[in-house]
Amino acid sequence: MSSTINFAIDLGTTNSLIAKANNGSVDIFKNPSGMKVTLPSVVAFRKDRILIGDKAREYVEKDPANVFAAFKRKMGTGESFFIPNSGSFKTPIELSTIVLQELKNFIFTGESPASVVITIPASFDTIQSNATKEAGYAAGFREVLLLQEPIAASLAFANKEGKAGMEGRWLVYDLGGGTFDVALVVIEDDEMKVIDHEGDNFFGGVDFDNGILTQLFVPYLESHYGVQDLSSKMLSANGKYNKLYFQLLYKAEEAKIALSNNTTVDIEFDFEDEAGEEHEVFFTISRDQFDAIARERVLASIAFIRNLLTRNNLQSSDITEVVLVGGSTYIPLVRNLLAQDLGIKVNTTIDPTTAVVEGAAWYAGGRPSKATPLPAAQQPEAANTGGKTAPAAAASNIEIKTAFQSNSRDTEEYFAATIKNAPAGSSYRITRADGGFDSGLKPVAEKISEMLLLLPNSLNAFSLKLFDKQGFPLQVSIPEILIVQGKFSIYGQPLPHDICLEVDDTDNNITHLEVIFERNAILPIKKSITKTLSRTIVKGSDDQLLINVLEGSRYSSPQSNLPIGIVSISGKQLKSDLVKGADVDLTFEISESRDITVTAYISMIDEEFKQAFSPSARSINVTRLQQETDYLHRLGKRQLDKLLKTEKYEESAPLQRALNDLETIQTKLRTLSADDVTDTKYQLDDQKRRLAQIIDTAEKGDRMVELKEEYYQKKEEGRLLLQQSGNKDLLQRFENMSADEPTWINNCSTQFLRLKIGEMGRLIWEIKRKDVSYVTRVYLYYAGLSDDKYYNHSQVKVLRARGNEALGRQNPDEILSYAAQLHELLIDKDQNEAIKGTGLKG
Amino acid sequence: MPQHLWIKMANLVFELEKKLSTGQPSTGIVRNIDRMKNVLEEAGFMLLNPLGEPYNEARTDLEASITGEATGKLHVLDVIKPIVYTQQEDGRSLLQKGVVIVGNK
Repeated sequence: MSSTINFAIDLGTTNSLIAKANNGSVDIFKNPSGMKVTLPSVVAFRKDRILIGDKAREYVEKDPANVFAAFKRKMGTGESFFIPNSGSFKTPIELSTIVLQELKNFIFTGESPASVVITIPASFDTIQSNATKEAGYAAGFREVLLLQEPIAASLAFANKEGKAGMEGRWLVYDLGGGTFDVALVVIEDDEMKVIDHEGDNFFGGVDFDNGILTQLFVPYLESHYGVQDLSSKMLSANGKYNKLYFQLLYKAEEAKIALSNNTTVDIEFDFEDEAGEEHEVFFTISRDQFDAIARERVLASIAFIRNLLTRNNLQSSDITEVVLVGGSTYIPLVRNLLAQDLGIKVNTTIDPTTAVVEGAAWYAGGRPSKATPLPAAQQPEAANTGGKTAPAAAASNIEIKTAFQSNSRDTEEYFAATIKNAPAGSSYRITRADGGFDSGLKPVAEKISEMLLLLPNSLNAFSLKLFDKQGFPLQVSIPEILIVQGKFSIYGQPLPHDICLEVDDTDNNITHLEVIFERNAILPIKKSITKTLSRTIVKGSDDQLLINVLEGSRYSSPQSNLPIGIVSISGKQLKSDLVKGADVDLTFEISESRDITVTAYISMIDEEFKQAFSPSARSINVTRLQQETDYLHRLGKRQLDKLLKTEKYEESAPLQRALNDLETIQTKLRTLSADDVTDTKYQLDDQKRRLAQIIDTAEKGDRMVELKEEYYQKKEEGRLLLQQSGNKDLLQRFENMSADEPTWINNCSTQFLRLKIGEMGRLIWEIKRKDVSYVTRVYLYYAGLSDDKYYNHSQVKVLRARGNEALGRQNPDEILSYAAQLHELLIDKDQNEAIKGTGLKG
Repeated sequence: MPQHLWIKMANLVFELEKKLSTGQPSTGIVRNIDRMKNVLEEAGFMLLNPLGEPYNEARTDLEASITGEATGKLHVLDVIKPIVYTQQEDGRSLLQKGVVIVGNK
């Protein structure tokens, strides 16, 4: 048990919040559904379920007899609300209990606090205060401390400013969504006290939204589109403009919020006039226009303050400051009028939406928790069971069996369960882990059922929970309800191998594979990616851009994988040049029957190239096959020379045979036309892939050792540099790369390993480029090269002069930029022969 | 980029798509919108447009205004903001409820 209370609840008329003091800070809990900190204090008793919060609020106007809001105003009265749907009555205390219990569900840490501070309005008398306490006890808290809202807010402000308390007398101006309160607060005998207060239960932010709608939107639409009496038509349930009312109300609220930070705001919406013609309406609202609408109501709130001051024989000058609470105090007019009209300093240092709960949590964090049990008669069932949240004895007898389809292609799935031995009056609730579904509280019966809404293409995790009649959770172990929707369906076929795209690695003068769809992905599947061109393809030339889709392991070489689809875009097909660096949008689709469709769209020429391939008709591009064979021959020859030099004649024999075979293929390919219709190209491709594996293996064994060594050296260098630099982002990247390593290190191609070395090299470069001494050395190297190495001597001179000045400023980016500019002017900066490749940058 | 800016961007992409759905935009524009959606997807966001879908009170992924008599089956008649989910290591979570108007079709 914690030694201090820590937990606090702002049980508001419109919205409620829950927070916890946590070693010198305050955490405000969020609603797991939608992640908002506020819970509307509304409870709806729908036909078969109880809804709390946002969902309940939606029905306030449509089902007012069964939906209850603002019941806080009735706390402490003898009034009970009749619920037609259930034929029963609920008191304001019971409704508040439901809200408090729902707030406890926000506590994601799993804690079940025994003590809590709950805030109450300054206007609450003893009976109302006790009624709030009663609701707290009924919600399962064993200790409830009350704190007046203005005091709570003041504590939040005091804590923010690092003062022990506020000074003199001050006002707490609380303008929320639907209610307004102002309190006069003072410190007397070291105690913070509310001396007096005023309020209006029917004034808040919604009045401003309505003002924008009725005074700006409606007159504009009426005058521009000749609509008569639009307001009445919008409010008529069956009227043509009923939907428009809600659209405009939403736009009005958006405008109000935007005008807190901007002097004008542009609003746009679609409007259909009475003749049925659609119009796009653009509407600019200035802050002056909004102020004109809000002024009267804000001045009325200031009149309340004047009354309060007069009644207490005070002048504005007797007030040190006015602290602002409630979302509507973001409005600049409120802040300005308070400052100008009353001449009192306005304190806006804390978030007005959460000030009350934050202050209450500060208070709770400093109050010892006694958690003394209540008299037995008032205790919830939970308190009798040794502090457990539910009667364990009752829960242990409950038997639950669930039934549902674990895979679904529908948007919702039927769920059924049998529940035996549940205590009378129990209820259940099913929620989806991502927050998108909540059944609300429903009565338990022996057989229950629910249609569960599924999120498309996802694993949907639902939890079923049971509650006793007082709303306390019953500790029953129910396995999670897991339903896979869409692509993971059992009907889908998994891919047996990776599907990859061949791309150029211009740094290493090779091509490598980039995975598009991973092995075991379920068909059908679709993915779009954007690549850039690695070289310019000239209009009218024979050069071609190749989109080569291959099946096999992503870790092996492109030459040893099975080509399953290739789209070639030759210079002859082009209306204009394709410039290096231009974007190519690629979309890959594989149907359930394994048909592959590749679509390439090149935005710079606004042209689309689309081709479908079926698995029964392999697609081979003769030009590409020639390039690959040539590349393999070069690679094999290099390796053979190496083996012969070291007199490894035995090992060189298979390689020599492979090279001979490759030469035969090369010869055949030279005589083969690009549009050959025979099987020859397929046979040659098969042979090439077999030979690629031989060459790959021969090269791999030797080369692999060197490359692995290079990779590990780079990795070690990266690790040491990261230790010195302490850059957390780069460290994370490094760790992610290392975590992935076991999956490929022993079964990858040399190309893939080169790719990884490159990746590690880029990481090292990221670290080094922030190191002043390193970039200085780089700069000095280029600055120190003789003039004959550069093209433009006068420019080099300027760069050297500026670079030398930059050295004094010690800014690594600046120094590096001069080194880079010098490098650009080098005569022999790109001496390597570029590969032909695919034309797609990796 | 902070998450709230991603959401802003998602809402703008959605609005743009909604505006264009009434006319016949060029394939280039549609393609650019698709690309923007792909970028959002790559950044871990899933956008859903619930227009026309059935509505019931268990749908906590929607913030609904209910129009008309609203008897019988309700459907989403208009979408002001799309539903946005985020994908994180521990699974998906609802980042923005869809702001919708529901009623009888």
